[in-house]
Amino acid sequence: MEHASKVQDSKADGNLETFHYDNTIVRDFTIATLVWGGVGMLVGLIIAIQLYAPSLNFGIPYLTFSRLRPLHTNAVIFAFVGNGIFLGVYYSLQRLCKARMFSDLLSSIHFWGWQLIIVLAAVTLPLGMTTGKEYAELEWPIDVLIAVIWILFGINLLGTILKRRERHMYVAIWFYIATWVTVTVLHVVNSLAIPISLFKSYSIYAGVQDALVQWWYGHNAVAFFLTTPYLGLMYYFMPKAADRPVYSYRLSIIHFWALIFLYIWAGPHHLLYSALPDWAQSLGTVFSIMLIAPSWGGLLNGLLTLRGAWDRVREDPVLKFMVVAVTAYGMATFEGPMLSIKSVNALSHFTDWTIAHVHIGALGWNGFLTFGIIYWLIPKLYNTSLYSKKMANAHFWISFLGIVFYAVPLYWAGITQGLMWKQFTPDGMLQYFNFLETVTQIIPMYILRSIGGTLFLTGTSIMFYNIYKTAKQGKFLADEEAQAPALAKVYHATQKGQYHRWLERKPVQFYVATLIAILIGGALEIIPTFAIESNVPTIASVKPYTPLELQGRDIYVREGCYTCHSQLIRPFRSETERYGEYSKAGEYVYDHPFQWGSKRTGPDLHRIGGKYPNSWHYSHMIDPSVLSPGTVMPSYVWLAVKTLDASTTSAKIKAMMKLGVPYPEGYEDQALADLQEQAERIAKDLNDAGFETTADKELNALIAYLQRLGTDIKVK
Amino acid sequence: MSEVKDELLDHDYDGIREYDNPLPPWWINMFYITIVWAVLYLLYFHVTEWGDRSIDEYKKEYDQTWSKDKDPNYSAPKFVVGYHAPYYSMKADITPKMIAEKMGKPEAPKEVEIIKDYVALTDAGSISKGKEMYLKTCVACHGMLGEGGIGPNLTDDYWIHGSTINDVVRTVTRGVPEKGMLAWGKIFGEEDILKISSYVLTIHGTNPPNPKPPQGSLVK
Repeated sequence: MEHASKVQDSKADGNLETFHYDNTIVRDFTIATLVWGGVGMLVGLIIAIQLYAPSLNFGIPYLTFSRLRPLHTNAVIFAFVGNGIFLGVYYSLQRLCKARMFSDLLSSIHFWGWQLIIVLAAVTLPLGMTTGKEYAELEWPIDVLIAVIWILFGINLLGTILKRRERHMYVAIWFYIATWVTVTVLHVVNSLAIPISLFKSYSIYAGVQDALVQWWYGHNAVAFFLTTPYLGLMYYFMPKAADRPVYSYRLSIIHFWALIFLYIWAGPHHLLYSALPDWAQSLGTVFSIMLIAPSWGGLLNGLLTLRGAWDRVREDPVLKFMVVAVTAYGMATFEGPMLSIKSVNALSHFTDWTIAHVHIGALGWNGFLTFGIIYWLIPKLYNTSLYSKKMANAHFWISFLGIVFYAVPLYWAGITQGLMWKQFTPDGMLQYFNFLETVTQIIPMYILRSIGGTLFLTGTSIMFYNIYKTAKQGKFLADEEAQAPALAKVYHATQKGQYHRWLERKPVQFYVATLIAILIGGALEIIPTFAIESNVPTIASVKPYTPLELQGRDIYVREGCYTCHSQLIRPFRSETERYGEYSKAGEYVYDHPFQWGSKRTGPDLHRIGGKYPNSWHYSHMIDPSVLSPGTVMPSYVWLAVKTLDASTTSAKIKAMMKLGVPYPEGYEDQALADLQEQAERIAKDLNDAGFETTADKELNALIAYLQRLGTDIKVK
Repeated sequence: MSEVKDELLDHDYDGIREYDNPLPPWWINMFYITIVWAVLYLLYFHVTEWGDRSIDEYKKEYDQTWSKDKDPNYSAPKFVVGYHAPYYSMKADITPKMIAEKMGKPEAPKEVEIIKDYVALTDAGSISKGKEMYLKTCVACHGMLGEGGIGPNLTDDYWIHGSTINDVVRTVTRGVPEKGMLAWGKIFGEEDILKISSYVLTIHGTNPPNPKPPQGSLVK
């Protein structure tokens, strides 16, 4: 191979130019990363404690687990990691392109727009404005804003690449491009919805199709928001911090393309044993397994880059954080495929095993890589050295211990509960037929987990102080001077026959190639599932929801019931004995959005309808602990007090009709009367049972919905 | 080129250099193996259809002798073309569970009877303890005075699960999960349940206001 002394391409280019890197935008995103990271982790800690102390919501709807959990996930993914991506991209892109960002104005709009989105999320999610689709909970006006800001970021990204003074795009930039292209596609396709009002919309997809699109999105949010951009950051900051060459250029080519092509297919592994077609489930499984090697390509190029620098890993907190981050990445990307094997998933799904798994990624990979980058970066921006290496080391060990205390108890809890759900007595009866028993069993693990979370947050707080002091002692370098020769218009390739080298010079072609790579998998899974919709025979007895049930369903979505309850009974004897007949695809055809859930902190609800009297539900919502002593479900007493806003009924029916739900023509005018009639009946039933309530309460609607669930094909 | 030579390429990105070391053989082999595995997996389950679908596994859970070759109702799923959702039968009313029942699933052994003979407690201390516990737990469904609510009236002459002290202890201990009554035996000890049950028998015939209409059978 050519030796290092080979003449640099750039030497043949134009005159040396002087320009300035924009460090202000990097600093701003760093501050945002730290602030929102702290908020996201704090909310996570609060809800972790609520899992064993549900009264910690203080009886306030806005502070209840089911509304805060989406806030936690969104804050960590889009606020903490999101800002982390941007800080790293804005720093590295300029240097890799030898150019200032394309437009300072766009940078600034991007920064403030993104923070505005986060603030809007932090306000609307606790208020219960949610689409009910995990990690895509934000309502349509915010979705539109996200799309606009994201596209502006894309223009800035592409603009900078186009005006670069470096002939070839480094591997980090490939990952940035893949991130931008794919997230755009994912966000737009998954967020399509029909608005009812400014704060409420219905997903245009229903049931099985909605589930497939949602997890195509959800899985690839992990892939293209939490993984590919961070791999890009790794490729820049790790060789920089270690001052070592990247281990293998050809490995980076192969694992990049393999990763983005394969990743997009793997979404259905979130829906194993569900009502999704078997063939789609199998694609989810096999593509997850095929992902092991491409994922580990990143791990290898990270760890092997450190050859010759391991002595410094012992000393340098930056490298320590990075090594653990990359190792956590390797663990999580091996565990993920294992969880995609059906027999493993049968045990792990719906349990805390999944929660442990994602936190290896979030705390270890994203968290620690972000910390490492910030510890390396801030002293550079402020032209100083780190205020205290000792503190950074303390942060490392405390947070590392935090991850251990977080993950180990949750693995234990997940496996324990999964096994308890499946345990039969020798007589063939469920050993733990009372779901609650499987919850109280793992509460000690929940307590340990929250200690782990506390440790992690403590470490992060130490970092805040350390970074603050570092900035204080240095002098901020807002515009960093640099020099590079301009690129000549004409380029003569010095090496022939290297196709990929050509692609690295051609940003537009690179975008197109990336787009094609990521569209194939998504299209081949989603299009058949939709195209053959007419082949999916609807079950004749499955009817649209009554207006009151529809309103009740929206309350179910608003309160975030899906954060703890699934609506998907898998075809296992242990589930059909516990919950009733397993769930059929045809039962969900009117569910906009689907509400299958991904975690069972409480029991499945798909066949809850008709199981208990109305009065049971009424009493249970007001104080669950009366009927289930020891329960971790909080009270939803406000539902019994609040008046249902029935004025939206006709608009909701109309929207549903637009989506193809077969209400009779003109039913939107009849709906309100039907709603009131049904509400009266439920209220009377409750009155007869001794509860003083009136027909106009929200709780009546929710009860109507719950009583309907799964009854259309109920098998006696 | 298969050994690690650590030769630098002429790449230089903001000071970052690159080697072009070969892919580790174990890594590339692992990649090949997973690809082969993926192809075999799809062939096994969706082309040859030798493998059991989720729903076939489920049928086997109920009847270990079941196999798709022997099942006259089994229809082979087609891959994509002629697709139908896996857990869905056109006749939604026919389910594996019903098939299993028709085929006669092994009868679940009858609940083991509580053979112990209880004697209702009558001493004031036990009764007041029983009442105290009743007011903490049972009251939510059976009312302050046993007049009933979500659960049945406990003061009338009608009983769903039997009227003797043994019946009541058994009902409280095991609960009636299908109607939402918990198995209190898992929460309270035997002694406490006997106290609660004894208290329940003392309120029989008290005719509280707002009684729930009778349920179950008349026991005089």
